Amino acid sequence: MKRALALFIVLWGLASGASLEAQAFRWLAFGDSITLGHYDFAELGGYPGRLHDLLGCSPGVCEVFNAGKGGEKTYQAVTRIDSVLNNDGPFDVMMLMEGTNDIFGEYSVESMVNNLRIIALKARLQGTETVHASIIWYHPDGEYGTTKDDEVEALRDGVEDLSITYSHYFVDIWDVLCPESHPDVHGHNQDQCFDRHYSDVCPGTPPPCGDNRGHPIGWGYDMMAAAFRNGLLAVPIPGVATPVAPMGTIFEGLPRFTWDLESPVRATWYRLVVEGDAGVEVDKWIKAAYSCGPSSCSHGLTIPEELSNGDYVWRLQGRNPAGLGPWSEDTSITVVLEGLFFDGFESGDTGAWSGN
Amino acid sequence: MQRVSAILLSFAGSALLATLSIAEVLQSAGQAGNLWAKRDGAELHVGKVGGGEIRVELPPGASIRDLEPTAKGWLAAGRLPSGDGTDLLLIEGGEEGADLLPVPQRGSARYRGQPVLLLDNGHLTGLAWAAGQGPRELEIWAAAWQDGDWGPPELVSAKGPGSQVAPAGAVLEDGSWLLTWAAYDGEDDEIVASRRIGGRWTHPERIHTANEVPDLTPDVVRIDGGALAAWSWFDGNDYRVKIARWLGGRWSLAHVLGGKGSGEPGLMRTDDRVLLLFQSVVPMAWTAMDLDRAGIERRTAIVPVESYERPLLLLEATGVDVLRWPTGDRLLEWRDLP
Repeated sequence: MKRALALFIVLWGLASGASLEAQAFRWLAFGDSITLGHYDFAELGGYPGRLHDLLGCSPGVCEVFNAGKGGEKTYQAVTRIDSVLNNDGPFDVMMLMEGTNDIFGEYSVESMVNNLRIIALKARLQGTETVHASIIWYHPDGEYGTTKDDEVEALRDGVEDLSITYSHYFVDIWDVLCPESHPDVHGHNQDQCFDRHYSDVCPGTPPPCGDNRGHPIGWGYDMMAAAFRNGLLAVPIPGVATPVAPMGTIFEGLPRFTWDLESPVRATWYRLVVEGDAGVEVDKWIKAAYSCGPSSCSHGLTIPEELSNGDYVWRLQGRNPAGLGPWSEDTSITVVLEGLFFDGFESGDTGAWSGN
Repeated sequence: MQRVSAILLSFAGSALLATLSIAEVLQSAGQAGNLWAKRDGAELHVGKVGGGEIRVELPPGASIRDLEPTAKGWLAAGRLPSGDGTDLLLIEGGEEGADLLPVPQRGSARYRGQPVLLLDNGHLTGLAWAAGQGPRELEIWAAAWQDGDWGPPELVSAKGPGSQVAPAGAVLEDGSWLLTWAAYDGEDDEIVASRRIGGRWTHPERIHTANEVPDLTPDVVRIDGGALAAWSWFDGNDYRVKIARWLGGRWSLAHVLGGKGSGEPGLMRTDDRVLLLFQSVVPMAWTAMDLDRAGIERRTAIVPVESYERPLLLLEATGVDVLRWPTGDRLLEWRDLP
């Protein structure tokens, strides 16, 4: 309950910042037909559509973008991710759940995990962090029975290892549709559970029938969305970043701001606010992937943002899939730009007012 | 031999094709004709291109992954649930119906599957398969079909550092067998091959230079003087299709083909040509390549289509070739290669 409340506060905070409307938090749901929401009888867009609602997304606040593709295998997704990132991005976070169609084929678990690693790497290069997810069980009465369970489980383990190795987040989806049967999915009766959450053949009737139990249906997608929400809420919010420079008096209107990363590093974006006597002068989101190195970040203002003479404070706030972190302490700066009255003018040092 | 429930439909094979909705499709060609098979729920539909169709009721949970025309009809190989694992499934069919064939002797492996039918001039000579206790522990096995029965299982490749999957095979002109498959080497999947000469298997070796990127889903066919292999390979940003020839006792890379995201290449040999079919993501299309009996590329045709569903490649006697999906046919507009 506390986590849900925290998320509400975070989202309310985003909604109340009118200047942030263009900076809505964008989630990318990337995967196959189970991400797309096939056989979702309520046509609610599978788990991404439901997650959009669960997160309280509204225009300008946040968005869950569904980029599922029916029938896709991970080697194909390695290519498709480029166009999704380039044409539909940018995104803050990608939820990546894929591999079901690979297991229907003859792909090694290692190759699936490798492809998922490549997809996450491509996303990271564009500033999008990845939340990995395991895939769901096949229906035991489906086309392959339980004979693919070991591969689903091996992929689950491989994806979890991948998320640990590359410091990605991990949401464990594989058995959420039948949680009461956990941990022994082999060999005991799950009929009611699977029948409730998966599509069925139902000859001669329209969707959600007509599918050989390969996809979830409405109840199943509800549970997947809830699992994603709970998994995302379990991600810790960013800590406090430490402002480094500038401090004190500076003699330029376009300073470069630097700050040390919070520890452990969890922010994917930073909000930089520079506030002067007349109010907020700069309020912008900076993507960590573009502006940060291993231990610190750096960002310079551009000409339209140039500061004039005066006193200012600047502060930072990180954000990640869990939401917004706390603000850093205010750091004071005084901007003194070149003019008639500056140090040396009254001292007789003529070199100081040569005008160069 | 156990008879499989089958319904023979001796008419309108092509028309029936268009009504099927399950994506799993197999195709094979040979001296005995051009065959297709498609699974539809618990049934396997097997047809001769331009001819009749038979519907075979599969055992519960069974699936088919290889199909070959024979002198008498056809053979299909797959797997079915067995205990807490899987076992091999062989079906022999013809105009009279379909029967289950015996499978090679089973060892202690929990899983047996991914069977490869090995035929020589339309006659079954062997079977290869993957077997093991888990998905990352599979070994590659084979057995010879002798006088209507299976010889003892032969270990082609013992358990390695990871998965061994997607075997494909061909019987070469000299009677030797050639198997290729994807094997994880501790870093990535590589395409390896082994030959059975005089009843003995050679040590599996890579068919390409060592690399640090995945190589996946090989297929192989016999060509004049050797064999042609095709597989999917990661070029650093996307998967592409590579083809290589086995000639004079060595593999040589012929070409890298296809758009971005190319994979699952399928090779098919007819009396006078070899055909390669694969799909790409960018452009979203299916590409067919026409090669001669020596595996030399002659023509190519690209069919843009927004579907991952594998089509049938139909070769008409009139020379008009098409790709067929349940939604309809698309003409192959061949372009000569320079």
